[in-house]
Amino acid sequence: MSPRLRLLLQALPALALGYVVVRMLVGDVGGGTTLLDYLSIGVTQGAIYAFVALGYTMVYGIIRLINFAHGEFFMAGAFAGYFVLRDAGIERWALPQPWPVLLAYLAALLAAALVAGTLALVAEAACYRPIRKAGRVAALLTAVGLSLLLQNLARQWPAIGPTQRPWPAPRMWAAADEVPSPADAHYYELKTFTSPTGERVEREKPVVFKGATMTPAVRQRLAAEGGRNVFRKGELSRTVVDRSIVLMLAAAAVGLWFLVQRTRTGKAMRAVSEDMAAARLMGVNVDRVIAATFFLGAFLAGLGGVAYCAKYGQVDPLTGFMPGLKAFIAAVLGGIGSIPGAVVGGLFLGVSENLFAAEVSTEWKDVLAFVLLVVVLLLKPTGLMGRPYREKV
Amino acid sequence: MLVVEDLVVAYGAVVALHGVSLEAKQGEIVTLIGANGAGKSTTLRAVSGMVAPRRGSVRLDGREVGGVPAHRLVRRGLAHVPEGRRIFTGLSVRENLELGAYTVRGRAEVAARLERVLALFPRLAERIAQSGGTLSGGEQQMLAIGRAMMARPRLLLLDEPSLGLAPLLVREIFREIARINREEGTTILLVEQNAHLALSTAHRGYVLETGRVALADAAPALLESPRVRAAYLGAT
Amino acid sequence: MWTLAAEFQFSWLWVAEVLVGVALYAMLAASLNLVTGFGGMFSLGHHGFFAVGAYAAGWMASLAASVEPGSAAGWAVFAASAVFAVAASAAAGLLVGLPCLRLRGDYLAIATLAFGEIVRIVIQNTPALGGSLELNVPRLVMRPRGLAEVESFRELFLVVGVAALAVVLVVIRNIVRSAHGRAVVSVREDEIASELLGVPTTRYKVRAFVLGAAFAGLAGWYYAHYTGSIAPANFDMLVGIKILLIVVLGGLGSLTGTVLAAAVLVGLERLLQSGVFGEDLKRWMQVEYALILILVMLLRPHGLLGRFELGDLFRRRARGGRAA
Ligand SMILES: Nc1ncnc2c1ncn2[C@@H]1O[C@H](COP(=O)(O)OP(=O)(O)OP(=O)(O)O)[C@@H](O)[C@H]1O
Ligand SMILES: [Mg+2]
Repeated sequence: MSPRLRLLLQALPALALGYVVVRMLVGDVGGGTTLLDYLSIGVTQGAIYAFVALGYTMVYGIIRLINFAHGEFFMAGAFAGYFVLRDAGIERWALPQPWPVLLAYLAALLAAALVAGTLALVAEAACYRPIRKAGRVAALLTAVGLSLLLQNLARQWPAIGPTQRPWPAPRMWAAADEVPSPADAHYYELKTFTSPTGERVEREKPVVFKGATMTPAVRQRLAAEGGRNVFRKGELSRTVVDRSIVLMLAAAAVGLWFLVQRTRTGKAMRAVSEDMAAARLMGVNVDRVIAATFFLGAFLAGLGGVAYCAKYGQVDPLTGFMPGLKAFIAAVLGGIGSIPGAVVGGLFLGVSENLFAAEVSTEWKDVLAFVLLVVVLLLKPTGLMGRPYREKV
Repeated sequence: MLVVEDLVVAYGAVVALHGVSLEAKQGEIVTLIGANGAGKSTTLRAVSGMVAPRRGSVRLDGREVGGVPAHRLVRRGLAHVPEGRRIFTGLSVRENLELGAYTVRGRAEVAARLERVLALFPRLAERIAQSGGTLSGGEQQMLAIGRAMMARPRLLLLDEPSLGLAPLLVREIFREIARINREEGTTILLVEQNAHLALSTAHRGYVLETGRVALADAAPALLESPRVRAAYLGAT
Repeated sequence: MWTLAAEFQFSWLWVAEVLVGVALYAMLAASLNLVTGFGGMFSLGHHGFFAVGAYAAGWMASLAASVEPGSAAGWAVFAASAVFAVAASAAAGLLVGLPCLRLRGDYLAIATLAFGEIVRIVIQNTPALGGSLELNVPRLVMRPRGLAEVESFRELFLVVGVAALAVVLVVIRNIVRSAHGRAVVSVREDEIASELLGVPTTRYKVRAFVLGAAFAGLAGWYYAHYTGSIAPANFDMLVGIKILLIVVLGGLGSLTGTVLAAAVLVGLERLLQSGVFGEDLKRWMQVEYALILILVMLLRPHGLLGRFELGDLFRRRARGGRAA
């Protein structure tokens, strides 16, 4: 193949991707059934895969471990975000809309990233570090065990439980006086009471329906309570979610690239990945660099968890399993160990899956990922962006 | 500066060192020679913290360092050029050198050291942006030594710097070693197969045999010793 | 069939059920041990071959739904479905092995994992195999009605299971001791060196892999006929991981260890399930199971018996070049 042709072949998908992203950023795509819609759905989903794949790839790159528990870091992050959105009350802050919702989401993302990252630090110190010298099979099984443990802990833990929960829709809080008359939407207030089993339960109670007027008595009671105590239910618009996800991925990928290529820590990471003992001789605290890598990967997975659940509207203890598996495939497709590879692999998988679902069949969609995986492994074991297969003798 | 006493090191069931004692004084070049498998590399590894000693003591500036992890010893002024170079092949020459000064904070300081090392090894300056894996064997050896110099060590451990190099290059490298010792005052512990060259460069030497010190003396004396001549210098 | 009311626990009925489970998992783990322990091929998709065997046997039995259980015809189909299951999974093994065994280490593991998932999804989307619901496997040798018959049904299958396991173990042991087996082990020890010595590594690896797949298929046949109904969920990745866990616990390359580990693991699982340790422990069973897995790995990463160096398999020789 001539270099020019090859360049063209590489440039074409990049251009197509660029086009789709630009259309997503400037217009409303993703709701219809045109090719562009499917592409944009694929890009969004692929971006989430990429988020998670980055962590897989970083950890694999540094200690050659397939961290099966990565999907559970994702799940833990998603739940952290869930609880912040539901219980932290940031949406009630007295700021003009949409600031309260925006800040609530920022807080949820941050909490998710930190919880997932911290969990990864604990897991690394408690499980992965002691097992590192015992060989690859033992490490892999430990990772599987950790994944099972976190999943089942979440299922058993009373605050989480095995059931699927709807992702909290944003609430636009207002003071009673701010509700127009007739009301421009359904308004609710929140009642909390203690159930017979001693649990605290929250109930949304309608205050006034759209188009109706609030009775003066109710208005008075609410005004007497003071503060923002009625809300209407908001909705995350699809375009906003999709755009945020794509932009977040772009920011994360660039940030990560900068970190790994340009900073002292990044250099240490690459050195550890290549030759742990030699890195130690340079004065690199290898344990700490590995821990940092886990933290960073899980940090991104936490962000991905909130993005995923906000996009698909629900969360449960098994939330991390399928996206985790797919992200892992994406990482291998792109070339495990390679950061650009994770992004490319994620987008590639997301787009192919959705095109396949649209054009061929939805039932067989899940098999596509695995078939692609096998095909790519056989043709180019190190993935689309990986370095050529190097055998150490 | 470095005092090793009764050092015992084992890899699992294989005992590699059975009580080695040696010493390197400030500003000295001390060489370790011996047959393959005598335990030379193991001695260096135990000093730099890559393997933990089973018994005995390693003291650096009078403080016990046996069992201290390798990365901490770097901060105490020790640098180790391990057997087989172990440069980072996926990183550029510049990045390799910068990693040598990993413990040094401050860009200006790193840049100054980089300049100095590049002056020592002009060949590296020509290849600064190339990845380490694309260097020739000799260039890689220079990179490994240069990388260790970036840490400005007070004690430099060198494991077979001449391995696989052309004779001309070997002499060049040994001239550099002597110069580093002279100009920077670096204490050097040198492991070398080429006993003649090593003993001509060093001040003192130790002969290791199956994990024990068999002979210890000033380098010129060892060069003259019949036993050394017979076993390591190929004299008949 | 796998869960029983509390009053039957620790009765012979219960014990027989547990022993059947032990035989099944010992068979599966021994077949994987041939692949991983002796052949050095790291497979995460062994449950795929298990599924192929189970569905092959189940499908064949479902064609003979009208046969009277226990009749000569019933026994004939029962035996024929064993042959068919073994052949089908061996064919699957060949299909996967030929291209994939060029891959090494983790890449092979990932490819086999993908195979396991593909098998499951294909079954889910094939109506003839019951789709994502259950495939009913008609009883061919005995239709248990009532407690007493369930008991003799289990006894019968216990005998069948022990016999099948014995066959698997003896065949694997003989292979490992033969020249062929030594070649396989040499491939595990050092692939490049064996190649240089003229051992056709790929051919031996494929043979070991296909044989391992065939035995997993036999286990599938056994499972399908014992439970009488199979579903894709019975063959998910957790099953593959459980098999690998038994192999590692028993020690890579140790058949005695494999049987012992299967007994320990299955027994422990059933005890936790039974609730002897109290209701709380039963409720938290999945958590405990995972914890035990992690603890065992941390404390005994080289297996319960620890006779074989697990690390040798994947850890490359130390770079310093140790003396032989
Ligand atoms: N990682 C290891 N595991 C087991 N044994 C080892 C290991 N490294 C070295 N040994 C053994 O320790 C002994 C000393 O080895 P060492 O590498 O120190 O020898 P050396 O004097 O440096 O030899 P050479 O001149 O060949 O480099 C040898 O018998 C060797 O087999
Ligand atoms: Mg040596």
